[in-house]
Amino acid sequence: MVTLENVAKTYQTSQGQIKALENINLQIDKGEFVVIRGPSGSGKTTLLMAIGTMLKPSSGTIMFDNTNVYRLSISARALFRGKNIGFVFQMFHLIPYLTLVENVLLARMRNNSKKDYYEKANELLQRLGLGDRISHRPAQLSAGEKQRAAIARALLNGPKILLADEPTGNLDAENAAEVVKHLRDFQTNGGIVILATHGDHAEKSANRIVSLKKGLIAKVEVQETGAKT
Amino acid sequence: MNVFKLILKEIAHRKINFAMGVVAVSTAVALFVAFMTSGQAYRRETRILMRDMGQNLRIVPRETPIDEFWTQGFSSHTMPEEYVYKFANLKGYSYTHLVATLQKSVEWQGRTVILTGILPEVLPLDKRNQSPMTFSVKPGSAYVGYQVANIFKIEEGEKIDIFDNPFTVKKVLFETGSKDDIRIYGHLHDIQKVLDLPGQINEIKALECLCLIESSDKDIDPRVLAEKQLAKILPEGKVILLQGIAKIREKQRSAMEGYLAFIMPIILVVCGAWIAVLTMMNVRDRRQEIGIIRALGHNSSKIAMLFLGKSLLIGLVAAFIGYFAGTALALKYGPEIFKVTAKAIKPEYALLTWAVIVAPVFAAIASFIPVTIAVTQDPADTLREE
Repeated sequence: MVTLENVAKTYQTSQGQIKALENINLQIDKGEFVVIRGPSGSGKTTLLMAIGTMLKPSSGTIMFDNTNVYRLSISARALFRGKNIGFVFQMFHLIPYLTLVENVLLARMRNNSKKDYYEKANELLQRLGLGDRISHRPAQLSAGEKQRAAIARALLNGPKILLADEPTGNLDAENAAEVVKHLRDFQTNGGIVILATHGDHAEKSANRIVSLKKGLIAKVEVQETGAKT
Repeated sequence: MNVFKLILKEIAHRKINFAMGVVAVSTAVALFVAFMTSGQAYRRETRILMRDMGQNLRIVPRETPIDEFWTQGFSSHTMPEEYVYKFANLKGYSYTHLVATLQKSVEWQGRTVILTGILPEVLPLDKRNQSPMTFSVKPGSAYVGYQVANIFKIEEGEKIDIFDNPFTVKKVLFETGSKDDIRIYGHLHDIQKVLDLPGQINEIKALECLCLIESSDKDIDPRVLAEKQLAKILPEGKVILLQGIAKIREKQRSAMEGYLAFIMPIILVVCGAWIAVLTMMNVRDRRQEIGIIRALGHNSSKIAMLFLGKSLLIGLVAAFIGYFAGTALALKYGPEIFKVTAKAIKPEYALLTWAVIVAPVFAAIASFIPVTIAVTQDPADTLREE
């Protein structure tokens, strides 16, 4: 379970203070698919980064079950992030000089068995329909394939939460649907998916749609049609 | 995917960045190795020159009283001319100039002049193209000192008679303010004839002599050693050592070391800045890569290791390239720049150890600031850049 209490994030710029997030209160349970919706600059990515333990809020707390993540040391937080949180980005962020399987294995935390993880990476790529692409470089793949590879990388350590920032933003409708399907698969297996978007590809899959406007939660819609765990 | 493998893959991907880094560090290493290798050769040679034997030598007849020699500037005794050829063929010595002369003070037309016969300079086989140390006078010709020409109103092209021997004045020399102004120079064989001393000389000047000696002789006084060695082939010769060139060389060595002390910091700063800029460019190119690595749960030390590891690798590769390039440079240009004999220059293997340790550390230090920037970069910022 992820709990956000009074989370706020402000940036100091030369033009003054910018409130990127303000008074965010959310509780996301295991097996939920939450879509965070809003126009550009509404604070979607900032919220994802804050939940993803990558951006310390200016105030408020973010709890993962009973762990206040921002009370952890930087290295402990990094370790926590690696074990519990998977990221999927609009631009995929695959490393261009690594093959697909190497990109996936980049997520392997130290002390984990190399052999087991190699097999797991292979299995994930097979499951995501990239079994024949494991030795390819990102440049040799289509956008949809790249995003599926990014999902495989996000899933390698068996995270509890997947944070997806505009994961379908660069994809055509068919590939977008496939990516959402894989995210739903993760959710139906008990994971939490938090997806930020300004489109509507994923809305049908969501249990909840949180609308952000100028850093504030403007609306929360609960959908019965959302994917069930 | 361990850090080392990631570094190697990245190097293979960004070959130019790596190659430029290697060029920067290997340039610094090569120049340092070249200077040090040549410098070591220089020190070795100067040490040989100063301590062991190699000097400017003046070889005069054995019976020459040293007080007379210094008062007069030459010996009143003579020795065989063939000594100069014996010396030239002596194994184990090298020299740059070898001149045999016969000098005698005589009364000529009521005035004292020094008749000086010069044998055309004997040059070493490998230095036939170098400029001679002194002029040579053709048979039948004479060079007249400034005062002699002034006193007797001698002009170039004029015929003069020296004890019934005719000479054509080829040149009237400039005033030197020394004994040379009262000399009349001729070919050695002509002056021998004038003085009735056929086949005789009274001095051999051998400049920049280098002599490799037996280690058992290293503590012997250089002059005694020179006499001991030369006694076998020049039994009637006496060796006088001149310190001049050795001192000049010592000064040159100091100048060289001063030059090294001046140039090396510049090279280090330039190459260090070069590495820093390349690493900074690499960090900028890899902003999102750094972000994703952080997002995947890897900590700052892994990011630092990625960049420092690459710098260490650049340093290591550059150490070997730089060492061999520097040694090659020293072998090729050292003899010209440092005026040492080529055979004195040899690879300094200790410098390879030095390079292998220092070059990676240097590269790592040079990339320290960009690495710090990479480590402190906010991953959230970079990952937001779509």
